Amino acid sequence: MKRKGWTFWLTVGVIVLITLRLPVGLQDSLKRGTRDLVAPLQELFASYSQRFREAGNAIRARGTLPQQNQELQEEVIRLRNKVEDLESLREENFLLRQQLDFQQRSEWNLTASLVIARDISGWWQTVRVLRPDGLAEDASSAVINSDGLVGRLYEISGETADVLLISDPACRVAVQIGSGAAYGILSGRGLSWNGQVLCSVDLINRNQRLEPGDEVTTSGLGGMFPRGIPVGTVESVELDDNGLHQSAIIRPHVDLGDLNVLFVVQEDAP
Amino acid sequence: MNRLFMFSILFLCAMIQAIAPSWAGMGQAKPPLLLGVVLYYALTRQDSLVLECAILAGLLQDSLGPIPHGFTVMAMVTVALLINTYRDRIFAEHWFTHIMLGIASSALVSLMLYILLVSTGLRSGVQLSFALSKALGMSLLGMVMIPAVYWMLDHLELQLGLHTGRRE
Repeated sequence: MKRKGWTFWLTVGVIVLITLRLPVGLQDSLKRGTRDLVAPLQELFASYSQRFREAGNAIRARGTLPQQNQELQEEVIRLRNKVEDLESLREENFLLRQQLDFQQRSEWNLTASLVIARDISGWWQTVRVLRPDGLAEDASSAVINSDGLVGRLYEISGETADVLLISDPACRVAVQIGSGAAYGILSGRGLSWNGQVLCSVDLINRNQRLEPGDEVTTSGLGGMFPRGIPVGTVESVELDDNGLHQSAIIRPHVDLGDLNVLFVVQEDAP
Repeated sequence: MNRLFMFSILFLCAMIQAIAPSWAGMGQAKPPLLLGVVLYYALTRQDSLVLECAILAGLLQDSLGPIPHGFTVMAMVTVALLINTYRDRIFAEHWFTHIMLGIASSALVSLMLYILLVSTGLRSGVQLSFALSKALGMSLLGMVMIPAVYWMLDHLELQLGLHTGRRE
């Protein structure tokens, strides 16, 4: 065994203490600098890994292509009918709003962004995306994909933006359950043993009737998340220990293990 | 040349580790590639380079994630210096040693980070069961990845003629 002198251990201790006590400004610069430095290479890695994944999926799906084609054609017809219905409803809604002099609902401005990395240590539930153009340094916008809410912006550097996923306990979202008046705050519960993402909504009024399968959407309260973004469905409901409120376990619509392209929601002024 | 090689490998491993999927059922464990590089240097090099490697690996991991600076540095430096101190008492070049060190060091780093994150209130909601499953997942991944990283670095250094600087 080699014996190290006390000066060596003292130096080690001082170095570790210095890194632990770095000023906040320097820590931020260091983090941003490192992230921006590796972002182009991560983008390259991410795009190639996506191509490999797509090629793998295409090979696996070869035998079922005719069936998939049939299902997609049927879905296109169903969606066309739905769009026609929605168009007529939109016109009706517009006329009614005009008559009642309602303010025009603000529109979402979606900016697509490629996922280039995940949390390197796995202690947080985050993904890193390329920073969309025109995004403010302190933005905390909602992030969605085609299935629903993914999370919110968390830390932004020159080239990248970190997204805190809804499965993270630190991500809190004001939600509405069903079409009634059941409101609550959704928070992440991490992952179960089988990798299932779970979230929960606590402190729901006990008089509200909730059923498994009820839709959960953002309520728009609090201002961070626009109203009406699909989040998930109720899996189970139970009374709190004190019997005053209800809690619901929510299964998110989004597959958080398979995120490639996300959309940052920037609400336009009405 | 030794340092340039070390910096390049650390950057490459950091990028791969960030892109690699996590093991959802095992506390989101990630393949400990950076720790693999630190262990390689701890088993083959002398004090200063081991320390540099551990600090740089820790700073990289902290910079690329939400963990505050210094947490991973502390864990990496502890593991690296422990192994470097006792490396003459173990069969440092045997694959079985790498497997055992991979298991032990991955679990140790996970548990040290858990204690630091919970004690500072940054992840106070994380349960001990999550940390234990993460430590188990990291150990299993470390058991495979750390000998693989050692083998690759050993062969790369041989090809590049960097073996002469080893075991000073």
